Amino acid sequence: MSEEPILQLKQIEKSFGETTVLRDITLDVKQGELITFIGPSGSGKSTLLRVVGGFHPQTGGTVVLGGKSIDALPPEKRSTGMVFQNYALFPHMSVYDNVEYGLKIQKVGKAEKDERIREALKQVQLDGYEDRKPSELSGGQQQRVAIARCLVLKPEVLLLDEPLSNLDANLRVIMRDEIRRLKEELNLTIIFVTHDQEEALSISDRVLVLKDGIVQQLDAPSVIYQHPANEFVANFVGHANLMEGTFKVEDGQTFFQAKKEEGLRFPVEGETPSNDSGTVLLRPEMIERDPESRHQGTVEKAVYHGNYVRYYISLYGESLFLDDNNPFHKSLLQKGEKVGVSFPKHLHVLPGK
Amino acid sequence: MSELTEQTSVPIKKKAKVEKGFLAATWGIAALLFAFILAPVLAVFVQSFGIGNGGFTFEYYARFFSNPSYFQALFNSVAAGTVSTLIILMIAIPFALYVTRSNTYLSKTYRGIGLLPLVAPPFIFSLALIILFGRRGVVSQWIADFTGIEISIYGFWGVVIAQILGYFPIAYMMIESSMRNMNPSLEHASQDLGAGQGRTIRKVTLPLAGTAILKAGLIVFVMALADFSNPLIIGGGENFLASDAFLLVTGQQNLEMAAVLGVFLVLPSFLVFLFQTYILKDHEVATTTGGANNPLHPKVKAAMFGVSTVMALFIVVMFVMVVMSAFVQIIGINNELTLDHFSDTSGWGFLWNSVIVSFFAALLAAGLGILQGYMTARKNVPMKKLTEFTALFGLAIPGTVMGIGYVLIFNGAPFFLTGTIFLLVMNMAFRKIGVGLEAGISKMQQLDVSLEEASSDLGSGPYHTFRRVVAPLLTPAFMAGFVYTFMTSMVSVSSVIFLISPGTNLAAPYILNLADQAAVGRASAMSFILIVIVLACMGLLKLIERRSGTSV
Ligand SMILES: Nc1ncnc2c1ncn2[C@@H]1O[C@H](COP(=O)(O)OP(=O)(O)O)[C@@H](O)[C@H]1O
Ligand SMILES: [Mg+2]
Repeated sequence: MSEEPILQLKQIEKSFGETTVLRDITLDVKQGELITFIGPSGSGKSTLLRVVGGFHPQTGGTVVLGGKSIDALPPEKRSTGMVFQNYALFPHMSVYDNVEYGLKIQKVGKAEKDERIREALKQVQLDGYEDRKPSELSGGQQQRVAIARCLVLKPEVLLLDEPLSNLDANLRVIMRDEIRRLKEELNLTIIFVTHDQEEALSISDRVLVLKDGIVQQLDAPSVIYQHPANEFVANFVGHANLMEGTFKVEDGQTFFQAKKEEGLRFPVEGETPSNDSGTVLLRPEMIERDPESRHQGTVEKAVYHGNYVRYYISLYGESLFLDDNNPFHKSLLQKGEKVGVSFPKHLHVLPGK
Repeated sequence: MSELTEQTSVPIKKKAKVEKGFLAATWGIAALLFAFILAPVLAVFVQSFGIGNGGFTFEYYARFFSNPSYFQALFNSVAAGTVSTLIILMIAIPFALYVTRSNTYLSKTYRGIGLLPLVAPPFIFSLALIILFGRRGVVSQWIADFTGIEISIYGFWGVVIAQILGYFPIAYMMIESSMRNMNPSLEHASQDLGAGQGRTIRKVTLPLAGTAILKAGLIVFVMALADFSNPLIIGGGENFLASDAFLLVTGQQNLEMAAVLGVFLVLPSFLVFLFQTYILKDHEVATTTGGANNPLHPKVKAAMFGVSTVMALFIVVMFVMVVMSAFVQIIGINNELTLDHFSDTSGWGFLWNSVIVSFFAALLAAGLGILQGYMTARKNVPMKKLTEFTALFGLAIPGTVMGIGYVLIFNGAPFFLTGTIFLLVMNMAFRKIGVGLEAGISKMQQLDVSLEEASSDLGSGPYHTFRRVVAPLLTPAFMAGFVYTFMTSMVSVSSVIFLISPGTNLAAPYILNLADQAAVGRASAMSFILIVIVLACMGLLKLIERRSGTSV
């Protein structure tokens, strides 16, 4: 990974008529990086991707690709390659003709053309399918053709808009790994749009979280999950118990004291916020079942998920939920039963509002 | 963050620019639509007030209301249209119910018979009625021999019967398709709630088909109102608007009075057109397909079947009469088989003219229509609404009015175009261009925009994208539009009859003339050939439909 950004978005704004869909979006993408845009439906992910591809000219700001502004260029003049959600394969052309399409426009010589098409189809493991029509391919295969059709043109940035959402769950995981593999092998720069948080965390180098067209956070997946910038990110990426409270030092030991309930108090380590109060993030897997604990709550609801059991409990009047991982050989608690829980020592505190 | 946003100055970009080529195309098409649809209709209006021949005057309208024969024409046209429409609806509803609720070989045959009149020239039933009930008709003579009573089909009621048979398929088609697409679970629900079948049909089925029935009734009414060929052949000299307008132009060169009649023809069409385009459009009942239709109760079914059978038999007998009369000397009098009626050399020449004219008209209508449809759906071209409106209005204008308008504009200086093949092509093409336009728009709505975006993402410019991606995908729609325009042009009469010359006569007006002169054998033979050609086109259309897997 070189340090020079290949793609820069500078203060991008986009409105459709009166409605502003993107506000002040700034982003540097490094060569060979995979960045995911994630956010709820309507948050502007596709619009931002399409600004980069040139399909929606932005109403403010600049897109810089390879050091040059590409604002004035139509999509066909940009060296970006887009893979559409529905693949957009030309139904009247064979796989070969689809992949050849862009090369023909570039007037690439016959020998080189054949070689590049062969290589691109091989990269997506579709050699031998040249003469098929798109309608004769499965969803996953169509997806691969769509990727090959872009790859063959060696775009500087590959843009993928929810590319996996039309595939079934198993295939989705396979294609996700496939895209990651291609990226590593060919050192591709990729922007990947999804609304699936698991997909975003597992595939990306960095994740950009959007809400109402405003960037909420841009960070590595682990940072997004463990240190969300605000309540929205905490809730949108993964599940979260958010608890307001204060930090107090007694006898050299720092304690977290929940705001609502006197009894909910436990020791913590590490830095505490300067004003000694804040909202802490308790992911359900961070809270552990611990019969010995002095925090004894009551089970309100238990939901069995196979690899874990999610318990909704009430503890000193607070509602919390926790995941009991690896439930083998453990008794399943029923509604109304007592459950002891213990809290982690290292907490992430959300920045104050 | 919001403060920062406000500081950035935001240059607002204009809407996406349209490429010069598409802009030029849309202006070109708009100019043609103006010249060959709007201008002729406006010319009829202007002429009806005497402008262009003296000054502005209401004199011709005054004459229209003071001269009993003109008023009689208006009355007859409205009365015949009303009666035909009501009877057609009374037959088409049970016919459609029967066909959609049975899935037998017979019901499918009935459906084919119900649609059969579409493939024939519009005056085919007048011809058949003359063969059966004319002065020397098969049935008339038979009755005269047995009872001594002379009957004659010529006159008002002859026109009504011919209209019922001729316009039946239009209403039937619309009502049937709405009944076919109706969600059967609604009827099931009604019966589940305790309603009998009769009640269910009255309270659920018919109201759901109500919009389609209303639409069908209105369209059939304006078509019958503007009917030209049946009054001419079988009207027996009674006054009707369209045929009188034609006679005013060709017989008396009285273009002003013809224009006044034209105004009375075009106004109802225009109102119905507005009504169905802007009011009925939103009232289509949302329906779902799939699921078996509710079978009919045996008693209800028997009644529907009875009505359908009478109608189907009637249509079949008419066609059989025309075919038979094409192959015998003089039907009913000398029933010797012969091919003499087919050896009409001028007839074959006119048929060839029809093929040529219809071919180029279809090429133009489908090509330009679909191109404009593409631009309407995808490009930010100017005057979209206006061009679409004009093209669709072109479909609704009575042929007689278009014909008079064309005469007014193109007959004299500086054009001198009447009698030319060119003007015939333009007339047929622009009367049908709305079909291609609608086909283009609806096909583009089915095609995902991402195909074109993908093409441009891969480096293709807008024209290349149109050629390599859009055009191939529009080909089935083009073919369908082409075949449809070709078929309807082959049998159309009421407009081109104003524009032909002895050298550039066409088959359909020629047959009309033969029928008018009671040259029944030759008229039947030519009609038979036309029907065969049009049926072949229908077959082609079905083939395209099947090959492309889309309904067109
Ligand atoms: N062509 C358009 N015209 C007007 N509004 C649009 C257009 N495309 C998107 N929008 C609006 O922009 C917002 C963001 O849309 P989009 O980027 O598609 O969201 P996402 O991909 O995150 O679901 C939505 O409110 C949507 O309605
Ligand atoms: Mg989207």
